[in-house]
Amino acid sequence: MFRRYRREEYLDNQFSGLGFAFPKQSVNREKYGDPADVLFSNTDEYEGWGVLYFRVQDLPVEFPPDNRQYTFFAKHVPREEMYPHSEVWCDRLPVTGEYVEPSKGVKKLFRAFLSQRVEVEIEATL
Amino acid sequence: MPITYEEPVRQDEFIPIESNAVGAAAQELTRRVTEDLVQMYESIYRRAKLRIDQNRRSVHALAKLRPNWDSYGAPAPSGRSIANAIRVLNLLESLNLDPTRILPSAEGGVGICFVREDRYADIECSNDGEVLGVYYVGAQMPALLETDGTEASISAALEQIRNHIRG
Repeated sequence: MFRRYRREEYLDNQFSGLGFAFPKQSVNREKYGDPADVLFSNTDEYEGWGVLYFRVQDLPVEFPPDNRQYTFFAKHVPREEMYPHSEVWCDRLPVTGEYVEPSKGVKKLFRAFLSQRVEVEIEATL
Repeated sequence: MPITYEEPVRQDEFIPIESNAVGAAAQELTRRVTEDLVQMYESIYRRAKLRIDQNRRSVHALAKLRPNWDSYGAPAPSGRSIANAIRVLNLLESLNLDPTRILPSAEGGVGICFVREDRYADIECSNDGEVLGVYYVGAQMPALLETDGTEASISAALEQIRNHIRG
């Protein structure tokens, strides 16, 4: 999964979870495109931005580990101008098949959890 | 050889040390060391004051962000989140803990981050007035810091962050 980022979101080689958001964080699925796709713009508005990635397997199927209430997964949501576009979805356990907004505490934990797993694919200069 | 009598030197006739060469040098050295120490303390105080002012400016600068500043539709920080972030900075002053960076939150709000080696922590002031923190080491499972928005609970969270960051 690929996502744009700015250099300031990295602190001493650690990506801050503050850069992730609910609901349905937008990402691009590696399976359907290239990392640089997320920087595509007709107006060069993403010049200097970088690309980070995490694996689909990094999304926890049961979370948080000490109180397994939610599951996270990638959902392919292609857009007309961006086929690889996908979203990070959350559902309750047992699954409902719908998007479920987790509690504030779980959101905070998940954003930190995901930030621990990201790596830089294209380094930001901005 | 005749023995001559000499009056013993009286206590009050000793030459005062501050007027002899060694005394003057010692006094000069003491004066310089004192001046250096004062300068050093003033400099440490000034630097700390500058950092605190800079942090406050960083928070206020985030108020100028527009919605979608992250290109993924993030809301701009609200006045409430800015005010809470300033409260957090005020509380940090007494804890003698400097943030590593102050960032906008993609969820809407302001985050105050602390990093030392593989230790990370942040406290996030959300647009809806919530103040929540998180901390972890390396890839260990993050731990949540909840507050009820009162100074006492935010201070307690910041103390935990300080202990975590200092190891």
